[in-house]
Amino acid sequence: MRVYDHPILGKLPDRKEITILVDGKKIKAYEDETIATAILASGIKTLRYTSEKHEPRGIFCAIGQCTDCVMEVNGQPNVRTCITPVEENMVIATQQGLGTWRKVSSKKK
Amino acid sequence: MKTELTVIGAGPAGLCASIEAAKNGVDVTIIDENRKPGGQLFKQIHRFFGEKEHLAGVRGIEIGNMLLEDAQKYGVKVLLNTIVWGLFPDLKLGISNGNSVNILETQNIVIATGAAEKPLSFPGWTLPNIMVAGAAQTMVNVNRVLPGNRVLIVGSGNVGLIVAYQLSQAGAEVIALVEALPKVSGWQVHALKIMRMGIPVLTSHTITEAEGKSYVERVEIAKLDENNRIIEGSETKVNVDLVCIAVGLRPLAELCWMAGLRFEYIPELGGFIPLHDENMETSIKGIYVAGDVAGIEEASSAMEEGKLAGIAASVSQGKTDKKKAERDILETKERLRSLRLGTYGDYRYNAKEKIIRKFHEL
Amino acid sequence: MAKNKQADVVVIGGGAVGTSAAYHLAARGMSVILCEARNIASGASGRCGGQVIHAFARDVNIDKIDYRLKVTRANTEIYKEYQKSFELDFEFRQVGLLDISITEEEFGELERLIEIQRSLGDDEIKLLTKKETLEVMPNLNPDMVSGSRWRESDGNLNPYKLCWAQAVEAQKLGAEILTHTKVEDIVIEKNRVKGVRVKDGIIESEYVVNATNAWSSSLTKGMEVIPVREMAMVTERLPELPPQAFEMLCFGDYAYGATQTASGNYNLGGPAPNYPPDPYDERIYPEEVLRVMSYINTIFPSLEEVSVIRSWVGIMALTPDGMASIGPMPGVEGLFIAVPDGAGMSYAGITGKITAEYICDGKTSIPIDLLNPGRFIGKPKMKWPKPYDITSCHKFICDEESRYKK
Repeated sequence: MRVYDHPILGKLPDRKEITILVDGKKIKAYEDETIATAILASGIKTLRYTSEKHEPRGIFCAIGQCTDCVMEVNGQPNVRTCITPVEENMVIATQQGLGTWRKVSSKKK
Repeated sequence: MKTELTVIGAGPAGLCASIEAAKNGVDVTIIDENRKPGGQLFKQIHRFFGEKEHLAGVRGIEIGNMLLEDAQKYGVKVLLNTIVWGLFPDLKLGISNGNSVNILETQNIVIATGAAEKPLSFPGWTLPNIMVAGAAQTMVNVNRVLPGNRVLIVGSGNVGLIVAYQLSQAGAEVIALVEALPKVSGWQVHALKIMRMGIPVLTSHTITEAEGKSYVERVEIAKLDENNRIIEGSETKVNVDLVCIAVGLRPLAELCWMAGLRFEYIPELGGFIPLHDENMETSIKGIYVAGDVAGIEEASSAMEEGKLAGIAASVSQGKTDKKKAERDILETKERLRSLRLGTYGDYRYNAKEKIIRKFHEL
Repeated sequence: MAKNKQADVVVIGGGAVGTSAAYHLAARGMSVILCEARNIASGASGRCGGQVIHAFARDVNIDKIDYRLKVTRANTEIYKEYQKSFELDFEFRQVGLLDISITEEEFGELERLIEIQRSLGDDEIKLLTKKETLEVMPNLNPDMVSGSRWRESDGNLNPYKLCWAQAVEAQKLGAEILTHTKVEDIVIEKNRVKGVRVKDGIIESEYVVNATNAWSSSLTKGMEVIPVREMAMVTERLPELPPQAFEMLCFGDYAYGATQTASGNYNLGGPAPNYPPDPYDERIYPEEVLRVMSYINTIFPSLEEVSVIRSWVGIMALTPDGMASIGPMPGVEGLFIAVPDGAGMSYAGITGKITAEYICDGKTSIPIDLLNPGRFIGKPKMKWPKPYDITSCHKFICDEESRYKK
C-alpha cells in the first residue's frame, strides 16, 4: 500500500509512471524507485523461493545487505531488488532456487 | 586512479569526514554502493535530540541534505553506485561500478561503512514480511510503501520505538511491541510517545513462533520469567501481517577485517570493533574508522567521529596547521563527550574509552 | 593453559593432515593433543580448491606413478569410510577431473605423458579429444581447448569441512584440540622428542607429529619445503553444471583450475601472480584478483556474468623432488613428519592413517621409504627459482630432479 499522504513528508511527489513485468504480469511502477518497492506496492510479498526447501522469502533488510530479496531481472539471477531501480518494461521473475542463468547451461547429472 | 583521501560510505560519518578534509584542501573521493548518498539519514524523519550544535530539532532527512550541499560546496568527489570490493595491502582499493573494475590508490582511508541490523531467529522467522525494523522504516519513509497493516515490533531499543511510531504515523496499526528485558531499553522520550498512542509495550515478552502460508499471518508471543524462560501457558496467538525485528545492530566491518585491522569484542557497541586511537586512526597507519563501524551509536556521534577522522587525515596530509587542527579536534571531542553522557551515554563513553585503551596496548 | 599438559602424541597443525593424524591416533587409543597456531583449517587446507586427484602426473616423478596411485587410492577409500561413519558431511564427490591442454603442442605433451602412465600400469587415465572434452564440459571456451586428460575417479570435497569433520571425530575419541596455540619449538633431548614448547610452557609427549606443511621446515631442521603462494576465488552459487572439475595444463600460462562445490559455488584458483617479498604473505593483492578474473573469463566465458564473492591466498608447500615427506625424521626419535607435496586433499586421510600405524605398530600398511623426510639432509641446499610460482617450481624440480636422485 502506497502512502500517498504522509503527516510529516506530505504528498507523494509526482513521478513518471512506468510498467514492469513480474512473472509475466504488468505492474505499475514509478521511475527511480526500487524493484522491491514497486513489487511490494502491488501486494506481492514473496520474491523468491529457496533452493533446497523451496521456502518463500521476501524483503528483509531493504538496504542491500542481506540478499534475501534477490530475483531474476532481465534474465540475470541474484539481483538485489531492494537497491536496484526499475526501468520501463523490465522483465522480472520470482527466483526459484539458484535461478536460471542465460549463459551457464544447467544439465542435470 | 589516485586520490589523497578515500572515504568509504556516504552516510553521516563519511560525509562529515569528507567535508572536514575537503575544507582543509585535501583531495577527497567518497564512495558509496547506493544510488544516493546519505546512508540511513534519509529514513530518519524524526527530529534529533540533544544540543543545538548537534543539530537538535532538525530531522535526519534535512541533515542529509545539508551535508550533501556542503560536500558539493567543498569539492568532494562523489562516486555512487560504486562497490568497494576489497581493501588491499598498501592502501589500494578494488572498486567497481558494474561497468568497470578499477584499482584506486590512496594515501588515507576513512572506513565509514555503517551497520546492519541483527536478525533474530525463531520458528518461521524467514517468512516474507518478517523484516528488520529499519527495512520497514526504509519502505515507509523513503519508498513510501507501507509493508503491513497489523504490526508486531520485537525489541524496545530506539529503533523499535521509533519505527513503531513511524509506522503508526503512516497509517499502520501497531498491535504491540515485545521486549525480552523487564524494562524498555530505548530512550524514555521515544517510549512515552508510543505509549501515549496506546501501543502496548510488553516487557518480559518474546516472540516464539510465526506462521503463515506465503507470508506471516500469525505470531505467538509469550511471557518470560526472570531467567528468560518461557512461562508455560502464557503463549498467545496474535494475527499480524508484518513483524519488525529491532534487536540491535552490528558493524559492517568486512573491509576492516580484510585490511587486517586489529579488533576487540565490545558487546556494548555491537560486537567486534576495530581498535582505534583518540583521532579514529586504526592499527594500520592511514586507515581511519568513523560512525557505526567503529561501534554502534547514533547519527549525531557518527558525524562527530567523521569530523575527527577528517581532521586527522588532513593533518596526515599536511593540509592543516597543527594549532588549528588541535583546536578543531578539541572542540569535536567536547561535542562527542556531551553526546555520551547520562543513562544512555555513559556506557558508550566507557566502551569507547576501552577501545582507545586497548589500541594503545597493542 | 598448556602448562602441565601431557599426552602420548602432540600433533602440530590443524589442517587436513594434522586433524587426520589426530583422528587416526585417537582411534588407535592414543592420547592426543593437537596444537594449532590459528584455528582449524586456517592454512592451506582452508584456502585450497579441494580437488582430490589421484596422482596428478607431470614429468615430476611420473616414474613413480604406480606408487602414487596406490597411496592416493588408499586415501580415497579412507574418505569413503569417513562418509559412512562421520557426523559431518564434507561433500566428497568423485565427479572426475579434466586436465586440459590449450595448444596443439600441449596436447602432444598429454599424449606423451599418458603413454608413460599407461606403460607403468595406470589404465584408468584417458586421453580426450577436443570434441570429447567439450562434451564433458560444454562451458569451456572452445578456442582454449585442444584436448584433455581425464580420470573418472578424481573429484573434490569441501576442504574446510574435511578438517572440521576429522577434528570433531578426533575430539569424540578423546583428542584435545588447542587452537590459537602456537608451537614455538619441538623439544628434543638426547636425540629424543620430549614434547613441544608453547607460549605458557611445555606440553610433554612421547611423539610429536609435524603436520605444519609450508611451515614445517621452520620447526624441523633438515626438512625442506618451499612455500608457494596460490590464490583462489569463489563465485556466487550457480545451478549445477555438468559436474566436472578442470585443471589447466601447468606448462602453459593458464595454470588454473576450477571446481563447482556441492553448494553450487564455483571455486577458481591458481598461481598468485604477485610476488611480495615474503613468500608466506597470505594477503591477496588487487592485481592478482583482476588478472585471474580475466583468465577465467577467457577460459570459461559462461561465467562472465557471475559475481565473485570472495578471494584469498594460501601457502602451498612443495618439496625439492616433488614427493611427499611422510615418515619418521632420521636422527630424532619420536618425531614424525607428515607433509604431502602440494596435494593435501589427495593425501590427508592416508597420511594420518600411516602416521598412526607407524607410531602404534612401528610399521605401515603402505611402504613409505620413498617419502623419507630425511632425504634432503646433507644434500646441497636448493636455490629455488624466483618467483615462486608453481609453473616455474615444477619446471625447476623437473630440471633438477636428477640432482636429487643421486
